[in-house]
Order: sequence, then structure tokens, then C-alpha cells
Amino acid sequence: MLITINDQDPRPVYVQIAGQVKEQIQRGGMKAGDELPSVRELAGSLGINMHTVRHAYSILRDQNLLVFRLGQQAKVARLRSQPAGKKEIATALDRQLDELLTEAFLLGLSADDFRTLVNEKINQRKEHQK
Amino acid sequence: MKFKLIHPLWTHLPAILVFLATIAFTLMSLPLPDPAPVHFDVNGQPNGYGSPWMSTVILLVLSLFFIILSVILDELWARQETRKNFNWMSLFDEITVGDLCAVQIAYVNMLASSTYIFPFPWTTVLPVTIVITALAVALELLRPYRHYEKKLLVEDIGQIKDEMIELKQSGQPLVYWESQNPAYAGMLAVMLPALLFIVAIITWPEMAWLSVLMIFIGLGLALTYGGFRTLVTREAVTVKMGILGIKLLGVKTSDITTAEVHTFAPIKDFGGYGIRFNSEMQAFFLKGDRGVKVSTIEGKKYLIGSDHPERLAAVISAVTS
Repeated sequence: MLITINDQDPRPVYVQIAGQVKEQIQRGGMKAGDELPSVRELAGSLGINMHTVRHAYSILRDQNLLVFRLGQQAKVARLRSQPAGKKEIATALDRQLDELLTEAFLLGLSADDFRTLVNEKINQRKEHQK
Repeated sequence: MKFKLIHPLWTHLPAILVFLATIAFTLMSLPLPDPAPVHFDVNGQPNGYGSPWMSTVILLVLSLFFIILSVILDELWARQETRKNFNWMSLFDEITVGDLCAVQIAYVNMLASSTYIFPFPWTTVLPVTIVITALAVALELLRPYRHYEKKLLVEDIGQIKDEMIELKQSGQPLVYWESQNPAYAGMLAVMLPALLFIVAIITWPEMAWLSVLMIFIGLGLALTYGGFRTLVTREAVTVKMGILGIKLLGVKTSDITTAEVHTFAPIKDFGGYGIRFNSEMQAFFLKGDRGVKVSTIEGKKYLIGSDHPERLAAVISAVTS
């Protein structure tokens, strides 16, 4: 598992960590059962507060991507075999999509520009997974 | 899903039958004299008395432990066979259980005869062990074989290289982390201490010093739970072990000259798994046959076992150059 902290990234550090772990799980770099470093180890190595790492891990656990039991290393959870239901998708993505659209329109993108951008990103990811 | 042993249980029948026969023989010889001689000098003369059940329970618990350990180890071996081999380790339970049970039978016999002289019972140990080991050899030859298709995880080197160029240029804090924590290591870190603690409780009244020694060894083994972990930062490459994260290796990235993917033969090159040495290098691995060989400016070489050696080598190279 590779984690980097980017000072130029406006997102909080815990969001950066959670995002990178999610991406590695999604791309198959980390599989169900793979262990993650302990909170203390990761925080010490990156020179950040333990609460920041714990917060990132908690987010991932709440999203059912990690499991951790008392006295055990955090592990990658089994990924869902079926796509999420409509209600779950709405809870997880609606607000973020709204925010993203607002940002895009404020940057002056048209609806078509936005669609093209999203398609490009999806294609890039597909290329990576080949 | 139904669990099926690839190395079938019937290959352990000689050891299991001797174990059951010993229990039956012991039960048929009841009642045992109590107190009875439990310790003997080199000439077989008794020099310690106590309950005969202490040695009986120790011998039987140890025998059962060796059978279970043998079932697990043989199964792990069978699951990774790429061609049919005679697994000499499969005789482990017959040899150990044969010895222990033959000693127990001779001991019970000695108690029944009321002549308390007990030289080492070669005349019982040798025939029992030789016969059941010969049976085990026959069963090992007859056992089924399932071919293990070795799946090599080939990483996308091009993608890794692109990521590493980005990493080198960014100069941002980073940490690369991976672990080697196979199931057998976890089981040994739990089962061996548990066995040592049980034996320590039993031997406490007779040999407290031995119990204390076993408790310390058991605690040491329990601390290995969690396996090996490799950590790469911009400052150092570290290998840690167990629950407490005991540091096994720490090399500053400024001292590293090269990091390259290395394939090795665990048994042939290092004589097993764990913390290993050979004439060329020190090695840390718990599974697999691939890792990253790290060389330092002092000329030292270390081998770090890895499930993703291409990635680990690329990250170390990125933080050292």
C-alpha cells in the first residue's frame, strides 16, 4: 500500500489517505484480507497525528471497505459482489455529485464538457485496469 | 463450502492408532500406583516421586499436538506441490508419536510390574517407531496428488515506473507498506505458546524453573503474532515483526545502493523461512520465493520477502535515487 501526502492538495489529510486506500482497493492493488499498517505506524511514518489516520480508517470502515477488530490489524473487507441499490447510491453519491456539478458550472464548463470529462476519466481508469 | 484435506487424514492413521492404543493400554492398566517414580537417573534408578498422571498427560498431550501439527504442515505442503514428491516431513508424527507412546507403554508396564527400574526402553521404542514409520512410508507413497498451478502475479512495470517518476519529483512525505503474515505463522504463534503454557502448568509443582522457562519461551513466540511488515519511507526501509513491531531491519535510504527483484529457493538457499542468513545476505521472509535484494554502501545485502517485489523494488529505488 502506497500513501503520499500532498501539501498542495486542498483536501484534508484524512480525505487524501482514505481516497488513496479506496483507489488501491478499487484498482485491485489491495485485495480482501490484505492488511493495512497500524494507525501508529502510518502516522509515525508520515509525520502526522494518529487521530488523522484513525479518522481515515473510520471513514473506510463506515463505507464497509475495511474491517478491524480489537487487537488486530485493519484488513481490506470483502468487496460487494452485487452493485449497490438505488437508495445506497443516493446516500453515497448524490451530495458529492451535486457539489461536483456546482464546481464544474462555476468553472464555466457546459453540461457536454462535463460529460466528456467524466467519460475521459472512466476510459483512463479502464485503461489502467486492463 | 465443504473443506476437504488434500493430504488425506488416513496417511496419519499409524500415528493416530498408536496414540489411541496407548490411551487404551493406560486405561486398562488402572489403577496406577500413586505416588510413583516419575524421574529416573541414567541407570534407570528412580530419583523423583510424584503422580504418574503428570508424565502420562504430558506425553499424551504432546503426542496429540504432534499429530495435529503434522496434519496442518502436510496439508500446507500438499497444497503447493507442483509435482508429486515424497514428503519426508509426513513421517514427523509417526516418529515423534511412536517414541512418546512407546515410552508411555513401557512406563505403564514398569509400574504394573512393581520393579521400579526404568532404563530407556529401546526394546519398545525401536520396534513401535520402525513399524509405524514403515506403514507411514507406504501410505505416503499411496496418497493422492493434486497439481498446484502456480499463479505468478506479474505487475504492470510501465504503470509502476510512471507512478515512481511522479513520486521522485514530488518530494512529498510517503509511506509504502506491505506485510507477510501467512496462516501457518499465525497458528504457530498461538498454538505453540498455548501448548507450552499447558505443559508449564502441569510441570509447575515438580520443576518450577522449567515452567518459568517455558512461559518465557511461550511469551516470546506469542509476540511473533502478526508476521513481518515492510515499511518504506523517504528516510528508511524497515522490517518489523509481531504485535509489538520489533524492528528486525532498519536501513537508511541514503545508505542503499541498489534494490532489485530476487527469486530464491527458501529451503535450498536459506534452510527454511523466517529470519535467515546465508554466506551472501540476511533474509526476512515467511512465504513465497520472491523478494527484493537490497545492497548498501557498506557492502551488506538484505533480502526482504514480498508479495509484490516489482512494486517494492520500484518504491525503494525511487526513494533512494
